[in-house]
Amino acid sequence: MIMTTTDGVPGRTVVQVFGVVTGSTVRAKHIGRDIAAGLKNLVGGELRGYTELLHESREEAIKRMTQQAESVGANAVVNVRFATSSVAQGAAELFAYGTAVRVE
Amino acid sequence: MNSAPRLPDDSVNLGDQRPVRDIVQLFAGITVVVVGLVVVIALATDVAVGFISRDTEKAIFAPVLDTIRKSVGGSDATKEANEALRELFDRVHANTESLPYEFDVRVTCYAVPNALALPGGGILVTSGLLKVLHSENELAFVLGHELGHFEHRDHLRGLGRGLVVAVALGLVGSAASAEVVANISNAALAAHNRGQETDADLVGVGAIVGMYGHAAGAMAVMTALSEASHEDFADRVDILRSHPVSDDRKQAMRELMQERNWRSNGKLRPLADALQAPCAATPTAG
Amino acid sequence: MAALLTTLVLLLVGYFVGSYLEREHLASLREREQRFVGLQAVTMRDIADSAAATEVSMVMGSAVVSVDYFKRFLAGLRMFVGGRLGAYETVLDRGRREALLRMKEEAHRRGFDAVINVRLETARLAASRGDGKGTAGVEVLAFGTALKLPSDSPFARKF
Repeated sequence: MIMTTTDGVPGRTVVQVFGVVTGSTVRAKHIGRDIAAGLKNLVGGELRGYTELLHESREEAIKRMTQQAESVGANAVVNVRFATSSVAQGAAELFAYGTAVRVE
Repeated sequence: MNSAPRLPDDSVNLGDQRPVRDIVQLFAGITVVVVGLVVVIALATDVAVGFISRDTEKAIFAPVLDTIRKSVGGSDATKEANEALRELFDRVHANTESLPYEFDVRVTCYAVPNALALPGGGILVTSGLLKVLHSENELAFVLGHELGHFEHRDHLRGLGRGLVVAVALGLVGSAASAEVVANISNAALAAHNRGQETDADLVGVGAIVGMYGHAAGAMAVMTALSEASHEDFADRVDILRSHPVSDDRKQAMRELMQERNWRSNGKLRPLADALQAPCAATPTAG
Repeated sequence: MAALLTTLVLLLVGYFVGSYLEREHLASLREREQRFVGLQAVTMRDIADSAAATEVSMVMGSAVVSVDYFKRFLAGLRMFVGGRLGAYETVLDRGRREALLRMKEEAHRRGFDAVINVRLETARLAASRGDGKGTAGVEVLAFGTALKLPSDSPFARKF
């Protein structure tokens, strides 16, 4: 599955446009990361626990988006965008969306 | 390019839903962890309390006894009432394990029935309690019960446990489930407290048997307290209550008395006059 | 004790009523999505003949979704051990699909043929509870550029 953030796939032609496909996941951090983050807020620096968490979530969201694309018969997803938002205290939603197309 | 609009598979984002199973699993798991932690904390504080000698306790708390007493509320009782209580207390103390505190025993004018053991050697009895009790035997049992708490260092243990659990909950902090966790830990602590109350009861019963030759006062206190607090079925099954419901306490007491062959019937002596009217003015309402 | 019973009752109500409402909404979503599938909405900036558009306008659709008591309770427990919050995923997906549909409905109502450059935004609304930690709901916004295309265009609407 080809994925781009541009309008089409450079060097190929878009033949069919199927529509918007999305992939999302909501993850909660566990109490250990919460406490560690609280402590890290004192000294600053990268919150590695969260980085990993959000990275895994993003991978999952992309996977779901490509699953949707496959289900409509696409071989590429173009103009992919991401959004991260907090949906509850301690939980974040990751979602990826793009347009499923067939390129040749 | 052509437009070929199609609907994608929507089950991809709906996920694999089994919320009831999730909730049951999570709740069970968290309960096990929290109860385990509370038990560990309780044991640890019990051990730690053992290291605080009674002299240290006296040195730390005796100076602040007045402040603690004031925070309980209520106003001072008559001198005669305090003297009468002290006289009874000395007799009770003679019948329990001798403890090295300089006990400061007082009546406080407060309408809610209560008796407290304060760290450092303070014992407070409210005028509300004196109204509910009908005989000297009953009051002696209450005093013996409080002495039991001192014997087992319960007041210190309670303080220590309360502190540590509060700190632990504070770390858990802003998680939405903090409320659930607080409830679970309260229930676990309450169960622990119930055990301590029963142990103190046994000291109280031993004291009055020594003083009067029978344990008639003890049962009477249970009944009086039960009536005063209007216990009903809901209270009986409430696992968050730390004072054991009367039925369980009465049962424990009956078993002990059978074991030791103590009489549960006998003549009850009336309260000293000064204790029947301990407050010069109307007591503070609860 | 009363507090425990209340919680249990709220949980049951949240679970049964919430599940029912969710099923109803999903059915409605599928039906409407099928109806509007002919009005293409894409995230691309250009489609085949967007240069030939006769009329252009921004269209928007938004929805605010909230979570029932049962799901909130489950989330609270889940936040202790971490992991996927499947319960919230459903809610947010429904909100997103609803927002997209409303955007398409607006485009359809005003006579447009397709929507390009679609973007989605999610925002959490804070509850009015004193400490601001509660969630009143989550707002999903879908917006894009709607085009009126000549009737022989491949993207002209098919209904």
